[in-house]
Amino acid sequence: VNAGHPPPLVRRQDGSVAYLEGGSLPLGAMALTRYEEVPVELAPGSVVLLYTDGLVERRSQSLDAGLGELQQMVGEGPSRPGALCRSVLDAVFDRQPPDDDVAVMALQLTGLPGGRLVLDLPAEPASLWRLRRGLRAWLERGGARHDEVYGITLAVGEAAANVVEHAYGPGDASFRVEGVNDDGEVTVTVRDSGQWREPRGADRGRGLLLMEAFMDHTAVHATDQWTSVELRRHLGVGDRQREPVLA
Amino acid sequence: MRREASPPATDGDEAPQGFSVARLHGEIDIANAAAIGVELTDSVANSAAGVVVDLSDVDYLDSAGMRLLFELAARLNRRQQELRVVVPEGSMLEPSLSVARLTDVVPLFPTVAEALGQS
Repeated sequence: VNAGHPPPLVRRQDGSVAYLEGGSLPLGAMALTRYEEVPVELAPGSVVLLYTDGLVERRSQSLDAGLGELQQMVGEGPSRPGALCRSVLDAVFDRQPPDDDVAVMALQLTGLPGGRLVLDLPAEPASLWRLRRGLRAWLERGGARHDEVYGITLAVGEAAANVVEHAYGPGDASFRVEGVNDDGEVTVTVRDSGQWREPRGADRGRGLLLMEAFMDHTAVHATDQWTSVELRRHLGVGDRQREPVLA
Repeated sequence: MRREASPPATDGDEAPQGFSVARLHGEIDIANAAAIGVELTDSVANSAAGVVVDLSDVDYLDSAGMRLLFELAARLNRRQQELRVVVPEGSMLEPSLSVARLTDVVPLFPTVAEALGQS
């Protein structure tokens, strides 16, 4: 919705810069104005610049010329939103101090770093290293440190090993590992089509201990048809000294 | 383990003081832990004082790998032999070995030389 605001400027990941279309009159300007909602799709990395008219309006030049200059500045400006605001303001004030007050805001869509991870694997021991290879690459793309990659890989590996050890017969069982990285909040779900069996024996107990020690949150959800283990950890929370849980 | 579906190599060395040294490589999980456990147990002669298991080149060790170390320690203990484990400083393995409390029953050393008391 745009009610008489200067048009937002969008820089997409491919570097193209364009003003968003579809504005209406300012609120209260006329009694019966229709305000339209215009959906716009933006890919991660895109920057949206919002600003007041003081940024582009000069007594000495046309509004179109001001908008054209801004479009060029944003196209050539820094990629990070904070630096982009500074460079736009510096350029405008260097050229000619504005006649009106100026406010600028830049928003960048961060999206999901590393994207989503989906691995479908047969429930057999050889799947575990495949899982680790895919998981590590995904975590590294998402900005995880070495110790975070190791800890999360170990926790997910333990959940998957529990599935593999309890799978019936060879070949007919599989499991799915899904990862979501929501701005550094990593959630990995290990889901199989079998019923959850309580981890047995000392080392499976150790498996749970490891999951809990290296993740912020560990939860088992089970129904008659499937079981999932949800593991979550926030990246970049320092090198936590994890106290061993009392056995 | 850089290769698919084959156990990591174990290199055995006869060291002074009756300790043999076994170096493990790669990644250890339920796919290969049992085989490694058998190989390690067989590598320790009855006359040996014990074995030094060097994990310096191990990139991943899960609870199945830890079980093999717990079981090896218990088996050696019954034979009045000793297990010593080498984990270099800053190793990714160390925090997980502490969490699993392997460190309560098996002494860790940063180098093989220190494990053998040669430093």
